[in-house]
Amino acid sequence: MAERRLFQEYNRYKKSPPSKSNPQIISLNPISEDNIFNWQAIISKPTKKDNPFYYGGQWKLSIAVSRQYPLEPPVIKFITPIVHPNINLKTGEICLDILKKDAWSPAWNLEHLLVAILMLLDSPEPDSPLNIDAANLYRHDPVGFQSMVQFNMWKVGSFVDVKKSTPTTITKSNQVIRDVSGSKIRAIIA
Amino acid sequence: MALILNRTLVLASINTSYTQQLAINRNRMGITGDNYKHSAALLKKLTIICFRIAVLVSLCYNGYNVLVTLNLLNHTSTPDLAWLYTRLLPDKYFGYNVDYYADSKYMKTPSSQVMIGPTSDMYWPIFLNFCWSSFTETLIAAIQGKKPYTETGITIFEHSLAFQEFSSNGAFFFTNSKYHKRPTEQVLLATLFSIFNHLNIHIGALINNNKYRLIPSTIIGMAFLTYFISTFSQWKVLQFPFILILTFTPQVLILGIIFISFTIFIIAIMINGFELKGLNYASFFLHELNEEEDEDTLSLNINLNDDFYTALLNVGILAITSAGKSSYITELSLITVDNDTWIERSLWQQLKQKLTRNNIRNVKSRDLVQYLRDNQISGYANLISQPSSRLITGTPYSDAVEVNNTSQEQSVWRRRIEFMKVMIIDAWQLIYGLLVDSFLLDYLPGLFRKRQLNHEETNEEFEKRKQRIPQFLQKYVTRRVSERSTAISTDLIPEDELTSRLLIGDRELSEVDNSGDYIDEPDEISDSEYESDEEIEEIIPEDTPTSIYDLFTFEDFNEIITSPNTLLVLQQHMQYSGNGPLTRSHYRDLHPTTQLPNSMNNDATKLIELIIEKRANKSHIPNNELLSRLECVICQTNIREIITWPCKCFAICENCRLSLVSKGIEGCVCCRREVEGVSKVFIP
Repeated sequence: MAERRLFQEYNRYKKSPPSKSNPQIISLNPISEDNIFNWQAIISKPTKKDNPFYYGGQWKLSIAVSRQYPLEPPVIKFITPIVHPNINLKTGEICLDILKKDAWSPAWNLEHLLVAILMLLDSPEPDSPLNIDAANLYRHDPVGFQSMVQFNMWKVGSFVDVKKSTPTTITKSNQVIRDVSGSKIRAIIA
Repeated sequence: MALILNRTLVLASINTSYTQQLAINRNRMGITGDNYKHSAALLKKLTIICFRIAVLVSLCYNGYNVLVTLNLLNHTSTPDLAWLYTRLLPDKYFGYNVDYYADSKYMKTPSSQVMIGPTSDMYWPIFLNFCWSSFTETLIAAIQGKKPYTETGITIFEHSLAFQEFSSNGAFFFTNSKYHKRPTEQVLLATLFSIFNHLNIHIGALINNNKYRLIPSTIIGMAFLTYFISTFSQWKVLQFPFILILTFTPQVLILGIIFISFTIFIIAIMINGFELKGLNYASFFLHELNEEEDEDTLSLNINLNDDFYTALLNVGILAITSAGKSSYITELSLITVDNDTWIERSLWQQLKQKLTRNNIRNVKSRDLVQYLRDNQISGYANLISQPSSRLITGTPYSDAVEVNNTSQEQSVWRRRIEFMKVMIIDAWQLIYGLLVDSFLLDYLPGLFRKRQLNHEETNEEFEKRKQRIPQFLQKYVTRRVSERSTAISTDLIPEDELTSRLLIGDRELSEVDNSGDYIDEPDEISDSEYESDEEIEEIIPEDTPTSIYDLFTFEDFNEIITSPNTLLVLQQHMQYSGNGPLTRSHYRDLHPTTQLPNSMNNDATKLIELIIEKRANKSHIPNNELLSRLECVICQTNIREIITWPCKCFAICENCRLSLVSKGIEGCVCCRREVEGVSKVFIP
C-alpha cells in the first residue's frame, strides 16, 4: 500500500511539481528511483517578505517514509542545520504535531508536510521548544534571533542564491555586524 | 389355520366401516330404549373385558412358559444373553420343574429323549394363543366398530412359518411329534417379544383404548431390534427363522437410515448454533410446536396409537425420500453464515443491546462516542447501513428521537405523543417568534423610532441632545441624518465628481439617470494605437501573472474579436466618423432595427451560453481525471466508497477503512471530527 501510494505521489509531483504551486518548495523527490521510501526535499525562504528571520535561506530535508505510510507519518529531518525553537540544531529533528502519530492524518501527503514545515518556520512555537536557547532568544530578543539565524545560515552556507550573499561579497561593515552578532551567538551556544 | 385367521383379520378390517355404520344405527335405535341400551352396552363391555382378560391370562401363561424355557436354556447351554437370564430369571420362580410339567401336553420333557426341557412342541400353544389374541382383537374391533390393532412386527403368518421352520417335523395339529427339536433362543426371544406386543395391545385396550400404544411398543420393538442387531456379530442372525430375517433386516436398515439422518440433523443444529430456525427439517418440529392442541396429527405422520413398526416405517419413508431429494446435502444451505465480521456489524446494535439493559430508550450520540472511546474502537469500525436522520442532518449531540432505532421499540401512542410534543414546541416557538421577537421588540420600537426620525436634526438640536447625555458618552453621539437622503441624486453632483464618488462608493447612487448622452471632443484614434493595446495585452500576462490575466486571457479577447456580433460592433466603432467615440445611444441611432448585441437581455443569454459551453467542456474531461478526483485520499488508487458520519466526508475506500480500523485511528482523516460511524456508498 505504502509503495503504491508513494509512486502515485511521485507521479503527481513529476506531472505538476510542488515548486510550481508553492515557490518556497524547491524540490521534492526520492533520493533514488530504486528506493521510493527515502525522499529528499529542499525548501527555501527567498525574500524578507517570505519570512523576517529566515529570508534568503534554503534547507535540505530528509524524508524517511515508513512501510505503514500513509497510516503512519513519515520521519522528516533537517539535513541543513537550522536555528529554530522547534528544530534540533544537531539532529535536525522537528517538533511538529502533525509529524507525530496522534495528529497525523492519512489524508495528507508529503507536499502538505513541507507546507506545514514552511509554516513552522514562519511561526515558531517557543512554548514547546527543542532548541531552548533559540526559543529564549526568539521570545526576548527577536532582532538577536534574526541575526543569529542569519549568522548560522551564513556559517553553513545555506543561502538561496549563493552569488548574492556569499561571505566573499559581504561588505566590510556587514562583516563586522555579522561578527558581532556571531560572537554573541557563540557565547549562547557555548 | 394361520391363513384363515389372517383372512378373517383382513376381512374384519375391511368391514370396519360397515360395522361402524351398523353400530351407529344401533345407537340410533337405542335412543328410545335407554334402559335396554344401557344394560346392553354394559353387557357388551363386560364381555369384551372378559375376552381380553382370558387372552391376557393365556398370554401370560405362555410368556411364563417361554421364560422358563429360556431359563432352562441358560442352564443347559450358553445362550447369547446368559447374563440377562441369570440376573432376571431366578430359578426359584422360573425353574423348570420336570415333575410339574410332566402332565402338560406341550411343555413336558419327552420320555423318548435324553434331554430335559420342552421340545419345539411348545411353539404350538403359543401360536394358538397368538391366533386367539388376534381373533379376539379383530372380533372386539368388529363389535365396537373400530379398527383392529394388529401386531405388525411379526404377523401370525410369519409366526406360523417361523415355528414351522424350527419345529419338529410331523407335528400336526394337536399331536406330539416323534422327532424332537429343541426350542432355540432366538425363536423364543422373538416369541417373547411377540407376546409382549400382544399383551401391550390388550392391556392398552383395557386401560386407555391404546391411546399411547406407541410408547411401550417402541420400547419393546427397540429392545428386540437391538437384540436382532446384536446377533449380527458372529453370524448368529442366521439362527433366526428365515422369514424373521427377511422381515427385520429392512427394518434394521431403516433404523440405520433414520439414525444417520438424525445425526446429520443434530450436527446441523449444532452448527446452526443450537437453533432450529432456518433448517429444512425444523419445519416438522416447529409445526408440531405451533399446533400443540392437535395432538393426533403430527407432521411426521405418526400417531401415538400406532405401533412401533408402522411408525418406524413412516419415519423411514420420510428419511429415505428426503435422502432421495438429497436434502441432507442442502440441509446446511439455509444456514446463513454471517457475511459480516465484527468489524462490519454495526456497533449501534452492540451498543443498543448494552444500553437497553439499563433501560435507556434513546441511544444518543454522546453515548456512542463514549462507548467507542471506552472500548478503544475507532468509529470506522461502525458500519451503518441506514444512517439515522440525526447523522444526515448533522445536528451534533442532539437528543432528537432516533427514528431509525426507536421506531420499532416504541408504541404508536408514545410516538404520537412525541410528535405532538414536537409540534406544540414548534408552534409555541413560531408564536413566540412572531409575537415577541418581531412585533414587540422590533416593530413597536420601530414605530416610535420612525416618528422620531422623520425630521432631520439640525445642528442646534444635536447640540441640545448632546448636553443631556453624560460626558463620557458624548463623543459617541452622532448627528441624526434622515435615511432618505442617503442615495445621492446624480443630477446634483457634477459629472467628474460622480465618477470619483462612484469609485469610492461611500454612498449609493440613485438609479435614475437624467444625464444626457456622453459626447466627447472629436478625438482620432489611430489603428496603431489599437494594435499597441493588443500587444500590451499580449505581453502583460507573460511578465506578471496578475489577477486580470486570470480573468481575461488573450484567447478570450480573440474570441470576442472573432464572434460576429462583437465584430460588427468593433467595425462600427472603427468606422464611426461622428462626434467622438461611438456610444451605445449613437449605435442605437445608427442601427435602429438591429437589437444592440450587448444589451442586458442578450448579456444574460450570452452568459448562460458561456456557462453551458464551459460546462460542456468540463464534462469532456477524460474519465481518468474525473476518477482521479474520486480516488481515496489515503491509498489514492481505489475509488472512494465510504462516507463518515456525522461529518459526511466522502474520502476513503473500504480497504483503507479496514486499515484505519486495524490501526485504531480515530477522527475523520479529512476534518478530524469524531467519527461515529461510516456507511458504504455505491457509485454506479
